Amino acid sequence: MRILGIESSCDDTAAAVVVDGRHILSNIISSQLKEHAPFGGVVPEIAARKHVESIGEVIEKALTDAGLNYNQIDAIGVTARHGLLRSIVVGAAAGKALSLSLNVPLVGIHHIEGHIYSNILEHGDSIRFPHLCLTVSGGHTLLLLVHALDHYELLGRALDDAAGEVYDKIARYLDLGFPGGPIIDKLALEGNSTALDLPRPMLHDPGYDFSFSGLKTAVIRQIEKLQRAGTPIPLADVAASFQQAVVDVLIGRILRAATVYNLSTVTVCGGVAANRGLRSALAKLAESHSIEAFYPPLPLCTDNGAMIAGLAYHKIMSGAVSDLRLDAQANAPLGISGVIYK
Amino acid sequence: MKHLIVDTSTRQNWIALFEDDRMCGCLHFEDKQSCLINLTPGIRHLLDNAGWHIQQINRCSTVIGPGAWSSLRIGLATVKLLCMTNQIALTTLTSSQIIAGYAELMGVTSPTLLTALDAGGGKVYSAVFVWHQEGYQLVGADSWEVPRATALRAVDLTDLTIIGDGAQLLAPYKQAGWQFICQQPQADSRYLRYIAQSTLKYGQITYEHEAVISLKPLYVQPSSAEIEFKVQVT
Repeated sequence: MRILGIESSCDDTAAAVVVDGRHILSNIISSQLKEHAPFGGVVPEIAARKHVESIGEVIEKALTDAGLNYNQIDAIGVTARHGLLRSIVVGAAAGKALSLSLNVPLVGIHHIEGHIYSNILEHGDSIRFPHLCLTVSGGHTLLLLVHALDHYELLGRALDDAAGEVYDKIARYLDLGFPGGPIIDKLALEGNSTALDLPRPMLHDPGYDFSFSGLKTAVIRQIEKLQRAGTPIPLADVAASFQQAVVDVLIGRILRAATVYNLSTVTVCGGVAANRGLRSALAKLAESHSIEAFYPPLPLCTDNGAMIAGLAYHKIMSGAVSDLRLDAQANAPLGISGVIYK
Repeated sequence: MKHLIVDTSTRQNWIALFEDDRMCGCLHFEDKQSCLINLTPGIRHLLDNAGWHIQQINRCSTVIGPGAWSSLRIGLATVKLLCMTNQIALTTLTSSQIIAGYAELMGVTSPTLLTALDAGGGKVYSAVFVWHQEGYQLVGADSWEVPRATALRAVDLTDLTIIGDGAQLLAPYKQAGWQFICQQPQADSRYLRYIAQSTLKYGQITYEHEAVISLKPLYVQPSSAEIEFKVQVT
């Protein structure tokens, strides 16, 4: 079954064709980084404007790269939940029009569920259930117990800023550019991760929630202290120390949950899953605690249509198909209750 | 000629089917929240009632704004994909062209027409049309500004009709010879027929396949973030 997946929940306009939930024929992502960079973050209205301009071209490119025409598509998967509402509606409208036009099934997908699926899309049956999944990006930080597709248990979440959001804010404060994640990750390679004494918020608190806002404030205060003393800001050391603090908290939470729930499979997904510091720490954790750790390849870390198309296949196989009245929601629970099916 | 019309530029969203000059069905729904939910099912409903398939449509017409942005984007994304997948020609009209056409339907024939839409925040979208042979022709581009600036630009125009829901914002600056029609087009069969026939009028643009792909709404104003950023830079 050839499924066209459409994703427009934030600032990437994406479309992909995936066969039988596993084989990626194309994966097109139109980035809006240039448009948002001057503002140091994603501007919802600008994102929505760019989506409507790009959506047609991205879909056509996904078909061309897959070597298919419209009539060879068997179903449409489209992000309909969780993200910027005015962005989601553009992709959802396009998906619904395609479903009507091609007379093929339509499946509304939850954006977070798509990210969770990105590891299964890449690694297939190597991902065993139940497993622990850290979904971490600029919009969310969630620790989930994944019992099965459609069956998720939320263990912890960011109570304030998402991890990726703090990267962006620190980068903006230091005037490093946007997005902050890759820039700080690169700088951190050259810095001393113990140069700044930074807190590890909530690391030893009970439960599995996260809080990164205090860490952000601590970094800014230390920079201000250096500025008052007339000391040049050691950017690489700041980046390395900040990144180490974030990674310590994320890895600490993963280890605790894996131990308490006796899980030996851990997946990490979302934009921050591309972070080299996190990947390196995860590899060490896996080695030292006999855990199998998985993360997607870089094109599947960022928002993409392939994860939406891949998951849509499983939804269709389980009979979960939407109809043309599918709506869009900025916030929705994960799982079957989050997306309207017939 | 089978013709699909989609207008999601205002809170009153309209869909209609025409075969040449005969309206074969229409429906409307209100508010932007329901636009995504109702638009595609509405198109299917009309097609089913008419016994048509989407592939039989020869032309699609839509309004590209300025207006209610989210609804405009939903409408344009929908008609773009319908046109792209079925090789349907897409004709676009601006909101001001629609209002100018409505003025014609109302029998307005003043030499100059100024369309004014309430843009919110105390500003108006406006455009100037002049009577040319059998209808109004757009002069210049659409504007987004405070009413006083619009009035200043129009101050030398005599025998002027100002029409649209933004006309009331220009009323305090009334000059001799200015007439006001403070209402939006009433979307009825006459109005929809006007849109269906408007490919014969002035200023509308018809796009074929390649050009349809990158079409975007006519926003006229920058986003609020861009405005704030320009202020900061200045």
